[in-house]
Amino acid sequence: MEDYILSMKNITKDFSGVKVLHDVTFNVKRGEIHCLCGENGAGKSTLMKILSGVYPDGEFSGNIIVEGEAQKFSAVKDSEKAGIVIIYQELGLVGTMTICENIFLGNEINERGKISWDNQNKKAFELLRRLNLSELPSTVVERLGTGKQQLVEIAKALSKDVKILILDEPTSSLTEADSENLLNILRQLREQGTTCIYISHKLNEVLEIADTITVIRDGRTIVTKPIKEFDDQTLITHMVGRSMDGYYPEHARKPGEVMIEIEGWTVPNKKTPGKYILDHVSMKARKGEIVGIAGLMGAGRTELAMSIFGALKGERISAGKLTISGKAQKQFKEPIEAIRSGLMYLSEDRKRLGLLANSDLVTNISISSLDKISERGVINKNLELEKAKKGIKDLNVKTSSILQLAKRLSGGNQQKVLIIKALLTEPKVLILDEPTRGIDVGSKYEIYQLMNTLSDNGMSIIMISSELPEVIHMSDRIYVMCEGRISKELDAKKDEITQEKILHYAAGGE
Amino acid sequence: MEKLKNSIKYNFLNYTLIVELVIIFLLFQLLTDGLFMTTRNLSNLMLQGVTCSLIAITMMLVIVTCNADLSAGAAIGFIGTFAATIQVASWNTGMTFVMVIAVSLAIGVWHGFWIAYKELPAFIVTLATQLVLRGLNLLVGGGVSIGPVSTEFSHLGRSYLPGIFGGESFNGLSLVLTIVGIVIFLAISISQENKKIKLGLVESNWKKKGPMIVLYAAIALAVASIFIFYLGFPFAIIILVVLVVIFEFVVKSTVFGRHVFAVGGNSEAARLSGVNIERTVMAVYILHSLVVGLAAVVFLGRIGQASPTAGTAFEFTAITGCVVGGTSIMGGRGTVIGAVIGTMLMASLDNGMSLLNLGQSGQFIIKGLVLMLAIALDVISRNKTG
Repeated sequence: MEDYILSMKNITKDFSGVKVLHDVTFNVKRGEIHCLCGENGAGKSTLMKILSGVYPDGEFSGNIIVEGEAQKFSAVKDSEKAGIVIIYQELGLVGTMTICENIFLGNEINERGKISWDNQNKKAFELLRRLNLSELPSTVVERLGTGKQQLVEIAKALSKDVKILILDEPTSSLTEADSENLLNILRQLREQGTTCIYISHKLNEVLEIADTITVIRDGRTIVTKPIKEFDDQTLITHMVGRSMDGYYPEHARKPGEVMIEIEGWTVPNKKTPGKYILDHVSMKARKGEIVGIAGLMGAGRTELAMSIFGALKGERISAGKLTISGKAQKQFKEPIEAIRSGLMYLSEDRKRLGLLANSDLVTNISISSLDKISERGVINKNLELEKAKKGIKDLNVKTSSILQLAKRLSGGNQQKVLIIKALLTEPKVLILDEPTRGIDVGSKYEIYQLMNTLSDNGMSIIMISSELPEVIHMSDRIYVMCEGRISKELDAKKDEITQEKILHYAAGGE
Repeated sequence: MEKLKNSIKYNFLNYTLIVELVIIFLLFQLLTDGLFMTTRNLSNLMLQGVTCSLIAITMMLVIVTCNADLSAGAAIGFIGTFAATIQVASWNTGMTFVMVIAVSLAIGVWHGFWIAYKELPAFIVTLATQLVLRGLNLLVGGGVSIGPVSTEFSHLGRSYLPGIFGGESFNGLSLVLTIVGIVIFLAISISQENKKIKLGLVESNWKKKGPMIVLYAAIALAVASIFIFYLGFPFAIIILVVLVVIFEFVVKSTVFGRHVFAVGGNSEAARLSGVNIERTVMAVYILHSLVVGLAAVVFLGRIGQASPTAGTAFEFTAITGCVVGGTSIMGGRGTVIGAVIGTMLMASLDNGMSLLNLGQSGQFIIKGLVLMLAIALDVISRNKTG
């Protein structure tokens, strides 16, 4: 019998009927660095949220055993009491407070409510030394770089007598040097006896630091093995390994002239000088072509689309040429300029960046093309209703009335409404960001068919997708992105597109 | 059964305003021994409420975009003093109007610049303007009342429509206007309903819809008769009605109106849909400021002289009126007519409590609680429906 500090057994979890974890088993040995790998949406984050008590006991089935004791967490506090601390991608620090205040936030060392600053400072000082940080505990956190802030997070975790430290994509916003430093610190913590669960997309990092690797795919545990039994090929094979069924409509396309082209598109990262959100990206899409953009979360795919569309708020495009149907364009400052030039973008975040949830379908459908159906600022309501009705019929949106509120529709129908909105602007180039995320299989198929019809009619479609089978089957060409760069272009005509290749280049492979 | 329950609940939320209005009127009528509901008092009441009601129309648009304007009352005060000073210095009335429009524009652009383009919180920006305008009021007026304004100028605030028949116990011209207005209202309502039925948006249901339209017409007639059988329509009320009609149209049928509600409903989604948020918010503040200017002229005309404290807390009445009338402080939802009725309800409270000789203390407490209750209703109902 192995000495497991943590054992999660037969974990099953569903979200309103959709199973995301099937009978997952996850065992972690004491004092090891255990890497959890899987594609986007494989269920890693859900599993960690169960472990940390974000999804309380009762919302899932299965057992969690920590140091031989069965645990039932009903809140994050409970899991922290058991010594489990999770550090998320987005940092949970209060920027305006000092390092010391942040480390003890919520766990202040106090005597009847009066904080004992001497004790706190002393302890914070020790923790910082342990992590090779030379900053004083009184330093304000927002003055630190992202890498050091990450270490403060770890210090905060250590202050709680952490037994199992979980890091979720800790290096996604760090520079090379900071990442290297973080990995060294983790090794050091391992020497001191802290167990660590490490989630990362970066396969080279995983292979460098892991003692054991668990791969999960489609909500199931695929394999748990020591590091020596993996290399990057076997790791990728385990992560992919799914069958591609025949549910994508077969279609032959004949791409025409280039409709949109960008060259040297660069957006610097304001927070970390020297790092880029987008780093000299060049790509093009032709008339009647579907171009896929693949990559891992945080690779810069959405930022690329948003920046072309003039919607990347707060960031500056430092360089880059944009050409739409042969005409050089200025970089768009507002989405309205892009829409007028024949470009349309639909966000991956339907709720936040797509729908006017409390408005009816007609309002949602016409909002982007009001100038086409109005005269001197007055809307032609008959025409508006006609267009909305036609769109809803053509795309087979299931709704009781076109005056239904958008929030009452299912995900698939909401997406269709947004597509109708986009089509009414009569775009030459349509960028779809995760067009089928979270929608039912039937609507998915209809959206694929619609994409084929649109490209047949000469529209140029750029599809950002994390679902590999989807991007592989729908695209004529695929750009694979990694850390703000296009790391590879793959062409279906040359039979270059495989899941293994996409994952390889997405993880930074050469 | 569930359906019936839902329908009652829905209708209750829709008609709370009317229900509140009826309750308050009956209550005051009883408490004041019939003093409250006389044509004379109701006519005065509405004239007192007209300034805030005018502000409320565009205040509604401001709130719909998730912003606020706390400076409206101070603006009324300052513009009043400014206009009165020009009047007293015997410039002509036309010139006074031009200057008022210029000042209003300046305030609107100032707000729009900081709130729309620099993304400062509207609450603070307009609070700052409130102080600045109060200061300017004292500076220009020297802290004393200024007046009187010319009769020509005070027409807008003080005068009534002339009678056409002469000597009758009611105002003929007002009666004719009312009848014409109601006929137009009936014609538009019926043709719009027909259009909806033809497009298949609603099922033909005249049994339910018909009485509703007639009821609205009857309410309008009842309100109008207050003036018809007193001194006729005041110009101020005509201005209010015209503005309500214009802004109903702006809200329902123009691109600008759509953009305003889209910005308030989900500004990021609106931006990605091609709405220029900065320009929309700027336009809302400019429009609002112009309406505040107009309200200031009407108010000054009615009072006849400007004072350093004029307009105090008008923005409070207008904002409360908007919220009472169904404008959501979380943005994206509101109606012109609701805002005006809500504000008139606040004016009724003022008037009724004055008739009852309730002191300032009681009035403040009750008005504060009304605002609290209205906001609680809005937030709780929104949280429930998600």
